[in-house]
Amino acid sequence: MPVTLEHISFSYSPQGSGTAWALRAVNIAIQPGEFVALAGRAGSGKSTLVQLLTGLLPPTGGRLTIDGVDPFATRQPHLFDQIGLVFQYPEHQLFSATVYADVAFGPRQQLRGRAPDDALVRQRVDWAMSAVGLDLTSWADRHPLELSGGEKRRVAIAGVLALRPRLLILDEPTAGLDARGRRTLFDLLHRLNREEGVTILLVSHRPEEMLAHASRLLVLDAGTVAGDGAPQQLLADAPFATACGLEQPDCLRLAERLAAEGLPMPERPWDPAAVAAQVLTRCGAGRAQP
Amino acid sequence: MALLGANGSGKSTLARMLNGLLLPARGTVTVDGLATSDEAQRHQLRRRVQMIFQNPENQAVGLTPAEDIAFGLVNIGWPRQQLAARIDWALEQVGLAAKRDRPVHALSGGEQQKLATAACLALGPRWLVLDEATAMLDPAARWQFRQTLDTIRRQERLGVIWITHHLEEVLGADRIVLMDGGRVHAVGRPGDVLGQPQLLEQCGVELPYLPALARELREAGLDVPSFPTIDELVTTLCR
Repeated sequence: MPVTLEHISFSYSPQGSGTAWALRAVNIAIQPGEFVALAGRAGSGKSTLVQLLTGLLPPTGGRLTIDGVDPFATRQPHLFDQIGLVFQYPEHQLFSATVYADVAFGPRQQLRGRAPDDALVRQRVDWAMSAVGLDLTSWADRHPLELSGGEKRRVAIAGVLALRPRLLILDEPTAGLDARGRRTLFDLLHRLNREEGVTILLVSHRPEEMLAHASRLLVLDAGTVAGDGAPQQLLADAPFATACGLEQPDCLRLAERLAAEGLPMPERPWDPAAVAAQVLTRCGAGRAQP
Repeated sequence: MALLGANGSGKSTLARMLNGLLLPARGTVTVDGLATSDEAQRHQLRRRVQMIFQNPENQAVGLTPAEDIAFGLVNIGWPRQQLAARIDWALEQVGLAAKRDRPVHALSGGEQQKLATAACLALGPRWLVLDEATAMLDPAARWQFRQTLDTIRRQERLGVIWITHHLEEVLGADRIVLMDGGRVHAVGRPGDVLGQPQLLEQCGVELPYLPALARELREAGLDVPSFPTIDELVTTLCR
């Protein structure tokens, strides 16, 4: 399911009167199965873009298509059902009395009128819970507020997955998670991406995350697309990264310095174990042996 | 002092014991000689120990920074005619004087955390406890907030307890307390605690990139500091 933004603009002021454009002439095409990171400083337009992609805001100008169809022009808002959004700190939005009821809320709304049978809802909940690594039988009746932070977040994500989105957008999903929690989350995202073909759009502030996980990086600056390409290529460009408010990660700063000394750029520069192995075989092997 | 540990390690529980928000099931907590279990002293204790929490958006009670700071001051009976001066002083400390009467919701996340700090400072605390106060800020705002806090800490001679699971935030601390599973696993200067990468990993704390690489290299027999700079790594690797 490709999603395209063609010459999209958005202003929060009433039509025409505003000079402050949150997005200006944005062209982006997201292909099925991609793993895309979206970055940019606060106020660059990331949140506005996410809200446009999920149908929460209509564009002021330009055209958005899902699977080649413009949901606004053709009045087909249900097309947005294929796009799931995990808000920042999604665990703050758990509201039901049991884990089951919370995860089932979405599919119940979505299937209302079409399939009244609870078996289908249950099937969706079951799948979503197992996708986030929680066994439904032991979790279904627990109160969401008695779970740990990491567990709550997984339940909240299950609530979005239960809608079976083809494009999953996550707004800084690792904020507040420790190392273990981050690893579990990324394992989940890669599994969805690889095995279920779910397209991932990840809003992130962490360059290491973009490097290690995304195959494509979109950088917004002042409402326009300032960069669209391989994360490593964009982040290695120090002046560009600084201009867009991105931190240049230590791994690329080190790789650059090593390159200046004649050592080639390591593969997987973000992975300390891989870098150490490559560096040791190349220049330190003799010395490393006792 | 930095309190370091994974989600669920007991950091926040410990923090909430410092001003009597939680009382220990066993044992005692005293701050400047005041026992947190002593109800008669709790009011004074809470003035001394101020807390700043994670979410910038739900800590302000006023519509403007000035109103927000006034709320706490009026509560402790600050003299009316000295309110304005105290509010201005507190906003000055965190660099928000220009936003004194702006709507709070128009402040950025970083500014809202600075406002929360100012509201605490106005009450004249001796201790500030920050429970993952930078977790929701972007990198630039996070860095700026830390700078502001550091300046205030030195000027006002405050004790700061900084709770985080990001190791890179605690490198400048005087002391680090490493927690896991409700227990203290290590206490010491950063060099002592952080020099034990295995212990950190056991406690679910991830090493930042450069120390993680250094660890790999050290295990292979190379002579690299545990917490190297990029220069030190380049020198070692290209020697």
